[in-house]
Amino acid sequence: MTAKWALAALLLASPAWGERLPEPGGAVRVALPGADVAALIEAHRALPLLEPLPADESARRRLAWPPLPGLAWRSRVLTGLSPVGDGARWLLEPVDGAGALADAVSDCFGGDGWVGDALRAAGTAPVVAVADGAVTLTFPFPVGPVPDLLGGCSLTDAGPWAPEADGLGGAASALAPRPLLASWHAVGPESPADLALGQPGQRAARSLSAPVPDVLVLLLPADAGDALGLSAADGLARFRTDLAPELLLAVHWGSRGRPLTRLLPPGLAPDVPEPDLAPVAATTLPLRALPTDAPTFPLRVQPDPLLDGVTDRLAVLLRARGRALVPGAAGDAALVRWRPPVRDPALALLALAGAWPGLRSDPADQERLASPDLLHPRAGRRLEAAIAVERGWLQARRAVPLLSADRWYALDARLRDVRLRPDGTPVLDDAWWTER
Amino acid sequence: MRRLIPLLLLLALPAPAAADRYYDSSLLAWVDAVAQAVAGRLAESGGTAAVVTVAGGRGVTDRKAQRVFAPRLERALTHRGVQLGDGVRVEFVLSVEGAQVWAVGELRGGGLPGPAAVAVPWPVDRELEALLGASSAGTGRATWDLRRLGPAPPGTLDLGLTDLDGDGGHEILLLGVDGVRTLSFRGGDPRPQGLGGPWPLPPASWPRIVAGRIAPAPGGIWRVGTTAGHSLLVDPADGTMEPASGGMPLAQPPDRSGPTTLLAASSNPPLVVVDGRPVRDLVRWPGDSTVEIAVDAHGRLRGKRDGAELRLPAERVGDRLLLLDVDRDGAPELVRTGATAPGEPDRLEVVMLAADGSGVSVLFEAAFDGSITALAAGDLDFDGRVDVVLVEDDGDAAVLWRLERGR
Repeated sequence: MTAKWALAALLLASPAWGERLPEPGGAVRVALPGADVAALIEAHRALPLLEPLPADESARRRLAWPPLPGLAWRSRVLTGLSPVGDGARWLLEPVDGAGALADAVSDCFGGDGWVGDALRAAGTAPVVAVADGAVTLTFPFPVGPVPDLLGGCSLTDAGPWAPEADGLGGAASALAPRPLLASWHAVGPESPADLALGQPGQRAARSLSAPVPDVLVLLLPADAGDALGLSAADGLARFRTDLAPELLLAVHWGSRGRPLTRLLPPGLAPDVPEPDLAPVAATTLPLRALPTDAPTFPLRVQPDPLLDGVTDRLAVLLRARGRALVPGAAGDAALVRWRPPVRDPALALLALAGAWPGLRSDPADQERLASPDLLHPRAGRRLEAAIAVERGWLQARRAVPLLSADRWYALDARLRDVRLRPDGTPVLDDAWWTER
Repeated sequence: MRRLIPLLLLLALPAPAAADRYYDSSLLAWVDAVAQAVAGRLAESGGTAAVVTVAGGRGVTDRKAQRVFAPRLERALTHRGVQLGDGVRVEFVLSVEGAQVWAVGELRGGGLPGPAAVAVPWPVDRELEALLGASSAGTGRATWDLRRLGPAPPGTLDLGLTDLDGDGGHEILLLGVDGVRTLSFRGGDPRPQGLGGPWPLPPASWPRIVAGRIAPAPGGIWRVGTTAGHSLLVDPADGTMEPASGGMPLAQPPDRSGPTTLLAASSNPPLVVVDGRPVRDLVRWPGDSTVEIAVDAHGRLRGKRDGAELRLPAERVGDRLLLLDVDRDGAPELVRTGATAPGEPDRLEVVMLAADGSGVSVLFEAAFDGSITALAAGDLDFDGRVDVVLVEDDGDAAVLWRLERGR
């Protein structure tokens, strides 16, 4: 009896110390645009071959799931990834099943995703082979950002989520442990949600910003003419002044972004010397009615509130120049909200070129995109090559960057450890509720 | 003295002497790599002369880029046979992206067929951080830098930052269970060193909750209060202590119009009582003392404006708050700890409050392995930017951390 009282007294006297682990369970309601929901489902059902190591992760978790040797990436699919020799050959050591891994890599490198786009634009593809229980990738020249490429590949249906009636439910897979959440499901944009794409004016208990902002860029085909007056000596400066991107951001995106003079935004590439553009006074744009037979400027635009606002402004600029803005078709100019899918600037530009054929139609562009330097093992060489590609597009007025727009997600204050993939897609694998 | 450290480091650096020599200095090694790249590009175009300009970008000031980097680059280029003052125009921008500082240059004119780029990254280490003011940042939050300063004494209860030697930078004042001590940075060592103390607190019986606060009082004196009943005025220069009336001091944002310390009645728990309300911490809005943000007795964030309740998110937070303009955008941010249960590892969050208090945007968030037991703000490194200093205690060891917002 004395021992029991002593134990009770000891427990009562002990300080309230001790970690409380997250409590599993709970559902999350997700409100995203339709295309983003499809990407979200895909991201949760598949298992990435590589995942970047979060910089802000606790030492405990880092020890529990360490990075691959020598890399800032970790994997549930690979036990090792290393270049052989100069980097023209890479060795992938799988956790299980080299054949399935080789198939996944081949499908990814030749597929419709950004990895396939980037490799097609670069005009190269590795030979994927299986030998001695490992997978080898053999490129025609040394390649550095193979981890970034593999980070865009995944094993289909190997992720820790399975379809449920109205969403995805957490389930342990052969390779990944069960998520803490019980399930998540998509809801309509007007419904209450625990995770939603951020919108201007939206009230959010917490927000999670994507590491790289979206880039609004005007892509012009070679035969677009000079409807916007960009070929004049001060044409680009005048266009930017008249477009007033700061105002567009303030009106349509809560000032969460900034005007851009280049394609590679902060977070994706370091600063580059800016060309000295002489300031141009804003023009008073004449509001005149156009004749029915006025020349037109066909423009393709993705449905998006910010793009709609920019399109309206472009219509005003074009009307002042005697042209009518009309909906475009394939091959016409396009106003694009580009989300760089990868943190490597050269790969990001290659992926953009792969997705928009107009950016690789010119022989000079093709030559720059085919440069092995874009995939060089040294990051500096890759950036130099990326700047050359970017400069080529900008000087030929093939791409006119307009502004960057921050992408963020509004979260319920009690939802923790939602992570973002390099392409900005939220992932709920580690998420948990502090209170339910 | 600490203001001279970067200058002394600069003077101690050798001039680049050989093209491919091994450098002990990362600055010189980086400069030489840049010079090698430029000289290579010039050689490819048949040129030997250049005009070089260097500017600062994200994370590097123009002044540091021009005073520290530019002259060494010119020397390194001269050593590689490049004639300066004419020829190809070379414009460099130095900027921080992720964990690296980049020199990105464009070469134009002077017979070049077209513009050419040169990009040379270098990992940000302590030398580059000291000389260029460049600092690496975490993924996804490219402009925040959370850095471990070194070990802190176990049992730390609170900390304050104060300029003890009149050099314009702050020293650290720590209140611990065993007394008060001061730390400073000396001899180029990035870790804080013991400066004075520990000066023991008068003997007192501690209750089950061991807590204490330290906050500035007029005349360079600091006020100490603990749950053991200490109420003291402490001179951090020599550790002299004298009893004082009052209760628990709560440090407040620096504000010309009001006191920087709020004296509250001691309560145990939750720590203090302000205007009849028990709270764990309370901060008043800089320049507007009618607005206050508090952690209530249940650990939830509460706000008031002119006595009316602000609609803050019903979120449980930790016991420590700071309210100050960390990112120099003109509006104060709330720095708070984010524990969800006693003893659970803490989070540090910097959040932006909506004007009506109804929304919170998290600007920075970091997870720790232990509890954040002390939180204060000042300027440790003379760069004019706010440093948030905190102590993390995991029960075995305590660590001092510094959080800073970059450019």
